Amino acid sequence: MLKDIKVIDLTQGIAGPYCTKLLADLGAEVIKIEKPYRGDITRRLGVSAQDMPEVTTGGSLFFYLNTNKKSITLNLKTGSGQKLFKQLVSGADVIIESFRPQTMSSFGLSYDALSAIKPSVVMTSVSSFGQSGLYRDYEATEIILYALSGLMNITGEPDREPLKLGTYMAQYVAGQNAFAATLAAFYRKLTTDKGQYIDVSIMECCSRLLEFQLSQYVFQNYIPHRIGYANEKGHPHGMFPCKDGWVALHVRTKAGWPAVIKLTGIKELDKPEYASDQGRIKHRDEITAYLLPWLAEFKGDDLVKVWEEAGLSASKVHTVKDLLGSPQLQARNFFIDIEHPNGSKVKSPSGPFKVNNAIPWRNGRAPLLGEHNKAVFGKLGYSEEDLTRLKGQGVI
Amino acid sequence: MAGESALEGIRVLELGGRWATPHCSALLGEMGADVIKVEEPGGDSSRGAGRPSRWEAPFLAAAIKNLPPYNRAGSFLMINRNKLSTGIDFRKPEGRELFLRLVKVSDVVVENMRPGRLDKMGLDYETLKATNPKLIMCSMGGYGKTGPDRFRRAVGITIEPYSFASVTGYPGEGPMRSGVDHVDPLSGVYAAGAILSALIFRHRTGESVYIDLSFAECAICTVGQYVVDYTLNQRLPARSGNKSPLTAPHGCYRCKGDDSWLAIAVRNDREWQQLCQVIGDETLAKDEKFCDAASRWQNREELDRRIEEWSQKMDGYDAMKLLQEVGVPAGAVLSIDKLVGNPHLKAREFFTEIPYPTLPTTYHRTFGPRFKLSETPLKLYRPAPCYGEHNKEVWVDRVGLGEAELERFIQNKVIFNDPFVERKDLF
Repeated sequence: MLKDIKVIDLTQGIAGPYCTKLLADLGAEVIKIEKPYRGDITRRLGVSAQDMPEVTTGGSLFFYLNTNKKSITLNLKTGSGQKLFKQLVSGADVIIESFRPQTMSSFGLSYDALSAIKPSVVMTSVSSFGQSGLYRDYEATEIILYALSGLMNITGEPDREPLKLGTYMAQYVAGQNAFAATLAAFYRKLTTDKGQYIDVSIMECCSRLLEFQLSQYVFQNYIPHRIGYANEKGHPHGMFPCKDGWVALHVRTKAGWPAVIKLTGIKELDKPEYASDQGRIKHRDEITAYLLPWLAEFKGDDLVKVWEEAGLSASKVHTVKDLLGSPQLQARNFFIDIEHPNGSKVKSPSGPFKVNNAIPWRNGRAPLLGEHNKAVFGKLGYSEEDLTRLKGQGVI
Repeated sequence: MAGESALEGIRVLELGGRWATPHCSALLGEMGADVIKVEEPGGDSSRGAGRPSRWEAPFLAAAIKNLPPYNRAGSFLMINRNKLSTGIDFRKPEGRELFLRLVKVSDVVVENMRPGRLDKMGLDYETLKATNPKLIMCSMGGYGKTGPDRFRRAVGITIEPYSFASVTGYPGEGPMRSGVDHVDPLSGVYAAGAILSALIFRHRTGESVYIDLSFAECAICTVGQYVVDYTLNQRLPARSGNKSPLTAPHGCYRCKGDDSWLAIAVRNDREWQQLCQVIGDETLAKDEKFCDAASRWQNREELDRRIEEWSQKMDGYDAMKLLQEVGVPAGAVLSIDKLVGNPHLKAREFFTEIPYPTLPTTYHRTFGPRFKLSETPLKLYRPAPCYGEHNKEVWVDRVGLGEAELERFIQNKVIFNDPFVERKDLF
């Protein structure tokens, strides 16, 4: 879908690379610029003891985040490296970077400098807190961002610490927002031939998710707190244990509660004070106590089946293994096979949507470090000898 | 609006409601698209004017008394900025015909109607494409338009189990749900990205595009690294609370005050030494149990206790500032009120004010732009719409009906400005 978009990718870590992964997987040409010899920091994260350095494309996180990209090495701290970069910019539509703010300026590669070379270039910067403001130079990792965004405070149990999610949610959210922002600017450029600069802050992308909470605060002066497995919108509306694991249960509509009573046959649930969502929230623990023994009789798949047959909503908590075995995801061909350099086949999620009843996502692998030096720099006119020399001189 | 927005001239029709789809079209609206909520009798169910036996009443903007409840439902107001609203009855043939005329002058249809409903009404993609051969249509649903689960309904809580639920929570305990329903806005932003990709594709090829987006698949994309790890290394991830598999200290530490916490994540020896200096405990810095990354991780439980001895005497913001001044990653855990008052977000103009619908001098706080574009910034053009507030703007100004014609359709209960008209037998 996005072929003909040429992206220079200076991102590393998770948020920036996720944005450029979406671009690359949908067909854009993404040239990932990495530090010579070391490369993106995630190359070294989670690498299995069995991985062989010379054929590895890094740990699973790097492999997942960097599919379909080309890798070149470049030392932007050197004047020659910066010159080489500028040569690449002339052939690019989009530049995406995720350095600490002011780093690109320190290389002489600010948006002002680069748009002077190519006025139609779209440049997106992804940073923890944005290119301005009090926290601009603050250090952050996933948990710091999740905490400051307001998301963490209401996740977890009331009598315990705030809890983060078990994945890099803050950074994925920022990556998908940077993707949308970049495409909007690129679309605009198609008609005006003018580029622009985009400032994406991970914290702001995450705080933006608090629409429900902000409206409770603004319109009702209400400040929500952590409530564990429960939910302020109703009950049951959360995770519950069953015979072989856990399920999420939801009553869905007002007609749902009578359906629960009918389905479970638990007479104690038929109390007038349990009839409304607010009433059930108030008597949450009692209701859960009545439900648990009934739920314990069912395996997750069976429970979901009977619960939904009664017009309610439920899902089994899936492990990765469950996901790979899911009939729905298999029918959708959601997981694709990607060739790993060590010869094995890796399964990876393709992407969250289909286009014209087909899969629009490419199935290439992540690159080896500097794998495309010859091809990319060769196109600029550099011979193999040039590249050998530049490598020796610490430029690439 | 001319010349200043990324999606100038693009018209988006939104069908369905609640959160994911409206969140998507609201973002497109901030990018400058002309967004029209096409609302059935009852309207977007988050207005609270749907069948009373079906949905609980939403909480309302308490301070505003001179708007009917369905025009001041709290989360509706927050989510649906920058949109027009028209009320229409698809069950009537004239309603369907009118809708097709609107599709003809639009670019994008984004919908999360009940699975199968649009097909049943003869408003499937093929029909819409016949009317508008360059149409971009994005259907959003729990599981997608194909597969055995294609008719299953979904809400955020039943999608999380397909994604991060299994890896969130404490070791040896059950999965924890997220406090904010991530799935809806996550899917909404993916949908916006999909539609933008389609606009770019259409610009190049002139072709129509049908996008079939699944909330479950959106959510799974945020745990993709675990799928890869399982097939590559046969490793299944475990729940680990707030802990890191490699580094310590890493987690939330209690601070002074009610439910006040500070997140700290030390990545290397330099940050460790700086943390010790801020804490001002020399024995901590010299303790062999914490001398390097491996030792700190080994003794992380005791380490956490030692750090909390310090943090519980500190104000969260103060402690964060002290640590950040020496380059140690630290972040106060903010509640919504602290977020709204946060000085960094204030400097970034992350929050702003917007009037209530039809009350141009009465303002409430809302979100400003979520990212900053230098030439075509995200803009708030108008507040959330009242139900059917823009029937004239939509049908006369945009579709070309005569004013008398529109009036007849309203008399004949095909178009509405009241969500309670023709509301019965909706579902």
